[in-house]
Amino acid sequence: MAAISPASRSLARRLLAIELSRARKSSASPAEVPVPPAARVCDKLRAVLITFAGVAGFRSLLTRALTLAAARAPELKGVTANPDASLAGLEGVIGGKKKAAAQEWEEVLVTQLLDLLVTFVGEGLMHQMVRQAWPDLPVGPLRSKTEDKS
Amino acid sequence: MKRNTTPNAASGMTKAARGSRGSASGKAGAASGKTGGASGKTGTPSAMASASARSNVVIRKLKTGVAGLDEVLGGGLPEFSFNIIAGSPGCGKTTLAHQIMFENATPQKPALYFTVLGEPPIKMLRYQQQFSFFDQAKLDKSVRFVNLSDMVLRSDLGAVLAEIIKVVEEVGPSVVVVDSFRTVVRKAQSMNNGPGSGGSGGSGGSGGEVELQGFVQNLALHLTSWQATTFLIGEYSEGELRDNPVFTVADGLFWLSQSTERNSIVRKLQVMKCRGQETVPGLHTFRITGDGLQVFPRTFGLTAPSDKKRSAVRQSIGVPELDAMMGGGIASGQSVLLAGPSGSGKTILGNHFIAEGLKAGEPGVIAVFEELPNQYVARAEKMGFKLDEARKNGTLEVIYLRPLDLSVDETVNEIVSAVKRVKAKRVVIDSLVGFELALAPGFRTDFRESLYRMIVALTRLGVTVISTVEVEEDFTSLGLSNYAISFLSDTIIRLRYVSLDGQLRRMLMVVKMRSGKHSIDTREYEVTNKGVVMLDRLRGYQALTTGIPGPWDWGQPRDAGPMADESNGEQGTRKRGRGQEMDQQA
Repeated sequence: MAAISPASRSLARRLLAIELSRARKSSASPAEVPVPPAARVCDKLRAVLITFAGVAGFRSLLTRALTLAAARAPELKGVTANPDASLAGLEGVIGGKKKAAAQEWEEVLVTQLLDLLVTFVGEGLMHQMVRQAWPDLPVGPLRSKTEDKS
Repeated sequence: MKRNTTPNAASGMTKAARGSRGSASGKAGAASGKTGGASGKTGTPSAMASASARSNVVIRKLKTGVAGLDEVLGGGLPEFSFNIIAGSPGCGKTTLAHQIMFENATPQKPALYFTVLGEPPIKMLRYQQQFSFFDQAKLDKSVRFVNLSDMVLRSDLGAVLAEIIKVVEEVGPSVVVVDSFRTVVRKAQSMNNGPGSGGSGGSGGSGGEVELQGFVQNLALHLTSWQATTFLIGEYSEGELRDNPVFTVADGLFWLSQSTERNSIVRKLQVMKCRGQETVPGLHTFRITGDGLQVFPRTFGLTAPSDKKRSAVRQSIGVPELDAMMGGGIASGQSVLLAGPSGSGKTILGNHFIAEGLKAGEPGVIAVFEELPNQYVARAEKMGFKLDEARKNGTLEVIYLRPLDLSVDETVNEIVSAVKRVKAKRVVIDSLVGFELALAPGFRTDFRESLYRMIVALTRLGVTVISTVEVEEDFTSLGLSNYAISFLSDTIIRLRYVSLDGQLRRMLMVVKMRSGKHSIDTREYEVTNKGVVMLDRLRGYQALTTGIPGPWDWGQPRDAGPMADESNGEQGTRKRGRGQEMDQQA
């Protein structure tokens, strides 16, 4: 099993924390079952990625990330990708589980997805995509080549 | 239709547009007059010139970001043109489109790249970012990728067109690329060949063709009115280019190809059509490197204004006695051929020439094909030629051109670039045999033409060029080179072995010199550890030029005057004396 990148893990943790906070804020009532932060993160990345990779392209990435994540956290085996490339079954897997365990599984899933992006398009473009999905999040220094030239 | 009223072509060629790239358009003008063909539609240079006198619309030219391509296009891409980039798989279509896109995209006027069915976009990004022009910081704000593959699979061409138009209207791009357009064509064909369509299969029938024509027409119309320069990328074989309605609609048609010639791959680009612009016709070789495509225009160096100034200045070759034989040295800006067999000292004479130039403050370039620059310089250093220091201080560049798939244009480009970098006054090409071998096999068949283009390109820059060429020696004739290229040389110095007194000795002669008087002596020389050392004129022998001389026995020895003058078409004074050479021999 390939090691996962600490940088991707750290970024995943940050994204999950942001989405957890936003989910709490947007929740109408405490009784409402919130969408798991990992599903929110995947959905935001999905919105960015399907523009250029297509639904099928993003779905194949997500499916691979789920396979890799399930190898680390077998509980995630029940999670799948819908035809529209959204996550299916995450709520059922983490519902009722200890908070720490659920957080760990979500972190593994998002980390795998980010790591896959790094593998295919590199860290720079992965950061670019994350920045598109979370415009306020300061990730990775990225300078224009034209700026570099000047 | 009269040429001067043709609206689509001549009207685009304005004074301003032509003036923006004086040299390029001047070149193209001359060239296009020769061929016509696809570019002939744009009118003759004279028609364009008359059009330029009127106050027509100025077509702005976009820089392509591809080295050499703007020159081929006559200054750049016509803004708002509708272009097709076609060619076989792997020939560089996507890379070309990316280069143009990254060159022109800005946050204010972004570029849109629609991917249809073809290379998965994630993989495309993975590979394209390896190129230096790929600027990650431009993604999203300046360069946007839009995937249409789902839509192409789900919907008809009308829906695809509507989606493209919708996104274009939202973004207001300066550049739009649809890759791969061929997929759209196949979609049209499959619709025509689908159940109940009555299509014939394979080639598509009239229904699909009409739909496709409509799609292309509408796309072109919309994108042009949205002020975008547009590219459709498609995989086509050369035969498909004919009779295809898509190519009729396009303003520009760029054909990329790659061919295998024995074990070499040669990539070529042809601008088959470019409305409103004088392009350089013909096939131009290109290479794909880490910087993307680099095009080598086939007229490179031949059409720019010449820097060559006929000058009376003589440049020393570095061997005083040989300078004297040439009336004081080589006339600057001329081309000299050093022809001789292996081991006769051609390379060393080239070293003399470069080293002498360096001493006189004249930078130089040596193009070597047969050994690596370090080895070449080390060998020269052993003979006392201070080339290494000059390399380090930037007054000498030794360039190694040894791949086996070079094109002539690429070679010329490399040498000319080096000449410009070091501001060279002297160039040595060592050797022409190596140059020939470095070329892809297809170019070797036109080697004379290749040499012509290289020598002309270099001498137009005003540099003095010495080329060495190995001559296979025989003992019945005095060949000057195996390439019949003496017409390219202003001066020819022939080196050869001669069998004398039981020794294999060396002699040289100045065979030809366009710039003036030269000696008609045959001089013996030696190659020592200090270079070439000239000895005396060989006297008392006949048939020296065969390499197997014999003693004069006519009783009528000949005493030639010191100089022949070819500059005014007359041979130098020749005096016939009696007994001198016989006396010497006696």
